[in-house]
Amino acid sequence: MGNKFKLDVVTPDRSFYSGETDMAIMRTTEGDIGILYDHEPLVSPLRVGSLRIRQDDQTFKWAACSAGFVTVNDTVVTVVIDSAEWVDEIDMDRALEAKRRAEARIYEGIDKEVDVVRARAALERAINRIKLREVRK
Amino acid sequence: MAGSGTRDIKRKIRSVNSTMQITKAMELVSTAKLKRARKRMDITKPYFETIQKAVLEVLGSDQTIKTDYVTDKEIVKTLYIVITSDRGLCGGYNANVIKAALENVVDKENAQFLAVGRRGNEVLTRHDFMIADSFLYISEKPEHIHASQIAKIATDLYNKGEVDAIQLVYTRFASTISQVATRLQLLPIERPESIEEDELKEFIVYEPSPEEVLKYIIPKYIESTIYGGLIESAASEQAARRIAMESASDNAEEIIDELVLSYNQARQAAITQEISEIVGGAEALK
Repeated sequence: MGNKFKLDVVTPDRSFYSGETDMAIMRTTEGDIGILYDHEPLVSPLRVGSLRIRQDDQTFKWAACSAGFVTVNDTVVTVVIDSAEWVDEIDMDRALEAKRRAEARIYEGIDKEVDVVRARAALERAINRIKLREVRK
Repeated sequence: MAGSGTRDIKRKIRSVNSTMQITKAMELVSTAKLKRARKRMDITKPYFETIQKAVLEVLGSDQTIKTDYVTDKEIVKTLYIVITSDRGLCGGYNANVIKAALENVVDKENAQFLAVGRRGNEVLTRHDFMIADSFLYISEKPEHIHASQIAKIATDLYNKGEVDAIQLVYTRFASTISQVATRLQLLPIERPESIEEDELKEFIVYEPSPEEVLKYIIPKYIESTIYGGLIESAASEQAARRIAMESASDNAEEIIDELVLSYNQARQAAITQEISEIVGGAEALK
């Protein structure tokens, strides 16, 4: 087990995670990156996807997260995202409902530009949640 | 006869008393709401502060970054996002916010407003200010989605060049007894002072590029600042209302005390008069 670093994950409605870990993997707009102890300073946007935090027993704790960004500096890794939930917190019914609603909106609102963009984002988030929940139960 | 006098006073006491009951109840309600609003404020603060720090860090560490959001262009037209309450009876809360916004307006033509809250909207409409949009009935319980809607409208106006700057006017929650109306420039972002030379050498990687990162982070920054402003204003509103209601209750109590005193005096005078009448009558019969 490697050295640990401090990781903070904040969302608008709560401080999602604050603690130490030796490895965290998250999805940036350029692809997944893993962060270990003493990573070089970095700022990068995150896209809808997953966040993995390695725990003391070497297993990963998975969370579904939406867009945001990560900053790495000498002392702390900070992940700022719009929303996040641990895999076991995901409300499957709600995600399925959101998916259905988003699909309907995309189907109906083809001529309304803004609506579709938002619905697509919502659909992406819903699918992300459903997928994570099914795979990482 | 003094009897009608005491009856009048009694009626006055009753009316002041019922007013006091209302103000007392409102005070309790806003105390409870304030507690909730403060809790929310504590939860959102870390998020708000983290984003703010990140933006300043990125801008401060690299002076060469070019973006539309940091310009030295002259500011002519300004959009003011004014956060007020929907309901009154909160002392100078709304008046202070509006004053803070208007004291910066030089020319009516070049100022646009985005009003949050019914009170602000009413005042601005009455004075014929240009209102780009208004958000009503959200100021007591602002959600993140409201902030992103407001941010979207504001940045759209900015990107289209209809305004050169965006200012957020909200009420900062200094403490439960002190709230300060504050004006904050959202856009263009003022470039922070260049960081010390040796610190500048520290190399930060921006993935994929600094411009791309800023393009993402700055709208987030605006959104979260507006959200922070909404949340803080909501707490300030309740605090202001609590204080206003508290002093109203105190005043009512004072008035009641005075009225009770004059009631007793009038009653005493009536009794004295009656006695002297009886005594006078008895004396006359002797």
